[in-house]
Parts: sequence; structure tokens; C-alpha cells
Amino acid sequence: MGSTTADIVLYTNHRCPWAHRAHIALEELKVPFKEEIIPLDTPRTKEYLAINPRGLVPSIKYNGEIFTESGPVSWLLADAYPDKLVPASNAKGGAEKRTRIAFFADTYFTKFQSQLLKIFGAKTDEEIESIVTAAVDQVVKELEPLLKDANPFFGGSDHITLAEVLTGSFVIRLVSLTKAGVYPQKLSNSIAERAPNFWKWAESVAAHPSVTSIYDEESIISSTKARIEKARV
Amino acid sequence: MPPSITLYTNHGCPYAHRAHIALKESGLEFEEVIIDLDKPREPWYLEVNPRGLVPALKYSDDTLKDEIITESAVVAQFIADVKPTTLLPASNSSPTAALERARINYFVDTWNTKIGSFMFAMFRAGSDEEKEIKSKEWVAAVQKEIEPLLKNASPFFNGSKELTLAEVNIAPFLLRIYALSNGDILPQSVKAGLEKLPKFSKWANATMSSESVLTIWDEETVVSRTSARIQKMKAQANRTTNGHK
Repeated sequence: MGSTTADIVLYTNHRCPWAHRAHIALEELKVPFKEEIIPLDTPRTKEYLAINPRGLVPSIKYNGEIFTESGPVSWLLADAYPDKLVPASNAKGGAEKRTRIAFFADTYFTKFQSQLLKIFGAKTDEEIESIVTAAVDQVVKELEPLLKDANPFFGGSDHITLAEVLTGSFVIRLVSLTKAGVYPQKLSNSIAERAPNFWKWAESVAAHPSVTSIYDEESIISSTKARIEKARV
Repeated sequence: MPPSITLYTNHGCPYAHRAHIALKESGLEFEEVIIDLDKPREPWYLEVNPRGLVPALKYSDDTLKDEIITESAVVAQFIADVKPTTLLPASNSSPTAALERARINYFVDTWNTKIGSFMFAMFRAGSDEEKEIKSKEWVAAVQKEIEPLLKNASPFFNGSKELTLAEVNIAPFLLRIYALSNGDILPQSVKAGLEKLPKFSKWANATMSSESVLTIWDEETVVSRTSARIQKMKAQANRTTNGHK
């Protein structure tokens, strides 16, 4: 019952992985939207703080109403265009599928991404080594089992689902930054070896046009490299 | 055939409490298995939930067999979706259903991220002075982040006359904040400050009087057990700083 003529404005920045979630959803849904780029290197303007007092991206204006925080925004888009990214909540098996997606996304961030983030504070190679090992252990324990039926996307889907909307921007960074050696290559090698379902899924996600469309690989590689090196000084 | 539901729970846990509220609202019948949180989880429970936490929900119906759902917000959401009630509109039930769900989602997310950490920070606060500072910060955060989102509460979130998924998620924490603001565990200024917020206090009191919210609530036990836990925490901290382990 979703709207086919909603008026959508996305306030965004292509470098932000959280805003990237909304882009994946909108690309996949193929709905028209207007984009307003919010520069993140300078203080937010008064105009933008009136839209989102927290000053963060993404924000979305959906038929005149503002929604913020990438999680609620992603679920909003998925539900406004039913049964494309996620089944309706009252569809047969819908509640269970939505639950699995919610649990998967929650697990990705609380168990894995939180470990990976420690790379940005690491001062020595030994520290990085142990962070990588801990992160891979979490992938094996927490995420690999949830991807055993991925085909190639979550839950056996042949197209992008809300699970990929919520995690895809982080997955593409994982794949491209390990390939470029910005994250240790041991990370990707170890995951590929010990969590083959996860890695196969990750590579499919990282190659999908809805995920790659706004991803400026070069720029993200160089800015991430700079952030990591800064911490080691 | 009605679904078969087992809830693995502990009545003292605010997160498990969310599942109880949701289940009461749903009218679904369920079997309850109490998990003792005062000792290490038994191996059989780690088979149910490897994380060892409560709540966990085991659910079977004509398509699902012994599906295990964990993480309290996910459990509450599942219950609200698998048996639609006034807690939450089905996602495609109207042109505005997706928007209503997003507003609830954002409100709960705001509580979790902006208000959620104060309780534990307060338990760790040392002096009475520190506690009063934290108390002011806590009330100020609720005034800034939560009060504005309740402007059309009547009495429940977003104009609803009935409990919504927003109250399911937050009620266990409201009960505890109010009950523990006894001057001993938390300063009385926490409750006093919150009661001065017009929208918040009206909404909180309506929520805390709701039948579904109160089903497993045992204020006396929660207060005394929390007090005991904090004493234990402080004693351990003292032993560690004194060089004992």
C-alpha cells in the first residue's frame, strides 16, 4: 500500500556510512528523490540544525515530515514500499523474517563492527594483530551461522534486502579497505578461510550497484588511511 | 491453532520485563521458564541462548518450529508484529503506518542512546555531590530529548489512547527510575526533577499505572536487590583499589 509518489528529500554526505544506508535503500527501491549534500568538514548551518538539531546525516524529509537516524530512516523506506526490501509485518512469515534481519544487523554492529573500530585507536602492530583476531573470532561465532542460507543475499534472497541496506556500507568498506591494505589483509584472508559464507556474502554485497553507486573508493581509502596513521603517532 | 510460546525470563530484569508487557498486551498464552541470574547459566540454557541473557522467546506455529528470538527489543517487536494489536500498526496497514512505526522507532532509539546510560553512571557515582550533578544532567537530558517528543501524547506516545511499543520498551526503566529515587540508591532530585516536566511526568505516570506494565512488577524486591547489588559493586571496587582481588 506504499506511496508511489512520495516527495523525498535526502540530506546526506556520500562519505558517511550511516547516510550510505539510505542511498542503498533508495537505489534498490528505484524511487526518485532529491539530494541535498551536507558538508561534514565545517560546522552545520543554522538551516540544517533546524532540520536536524543533532546536525547528523542522514535526515530525510518524507512528504514534508522530517525523520532522522539511519536505522529508523532505513526501516521507514523499507516499509513505505512494501515487500521489496523486507516482507510486510503481517505477511505470512513476515514477523519472523523481519526479526532475523533486525537481529543480524544488531549483531553485526555490537559484536563485529565494535571490535573493528578498535583499529582506529591501535598504537602498535601487536595491538592490531590482536584486534584482528578478536574481530574474526566474532565473525565466525556470531555472523557466519546467520549467513549459511545466504544466496547470495540474506535469508536466501537473490536481491538486496533490508539486511544489506543496514550493513552494506560497512561491508563494502571492509572488503575494499582490506583489499587496499588499509585494514590488515590478514583480516580478509582469515575471514575468507574461517567464515566462507560470510566472505562470499560480503563480496556480493560489496559488488552490488546499489551499494557501490555513491562509494568513492579512492577518497575513502585515503581518508581512512590518514585516520589510522594519525592514531599511531 | 494458537502458537506455542515459551519465555525464558527473570522478573528482576528490566529487559525481560519488556517481553512480559508485550505478551500481556498481545493476549497470547505462554509458558514461563525462570532463569536464575545469580549464578552462571546452565549448559542447557546456553543451547537456547548462547549469549546466556534473558529474555529469550521460543516460538512455534503452523510454519515455525521452535524459533528462538533473543535481544529484548527484537523480542518485543516480534510479539507486536506476529499478533498485531494497538501496540503497533502493521507496516502496510495504511499509508501512514510506516511513518507511525518510524516515529516509535526513533523515540525508543532516543531513550536508549540519550537517557539509557545515566542509571549505571549514577550507581558508580561516589559522593553525594557527584550524584546531584548527575541527577541534574539526567533530568536535563530528559527535558531536552524526550519531553519534546511527547508533545502529542494522550496519554501514550503519538496520540495513542492505548499502550504502544514505545511504552513497552521504556516502561521497565521508568518504574525503576521512580522506585529507586528514594534518596538512598538514587537522589530524590531525580524523581522530583522528572515530575516537573509536564509532558514527561503525565506520560510516565500513565505508563507506570498500566496493567500490562505492572504484571510482574515487584517494587520492594527490585529496590532491595538493587541496593544489595550496589553495595556488592562498591565493596568489590574498594577491594580492588586496596590491592586485593
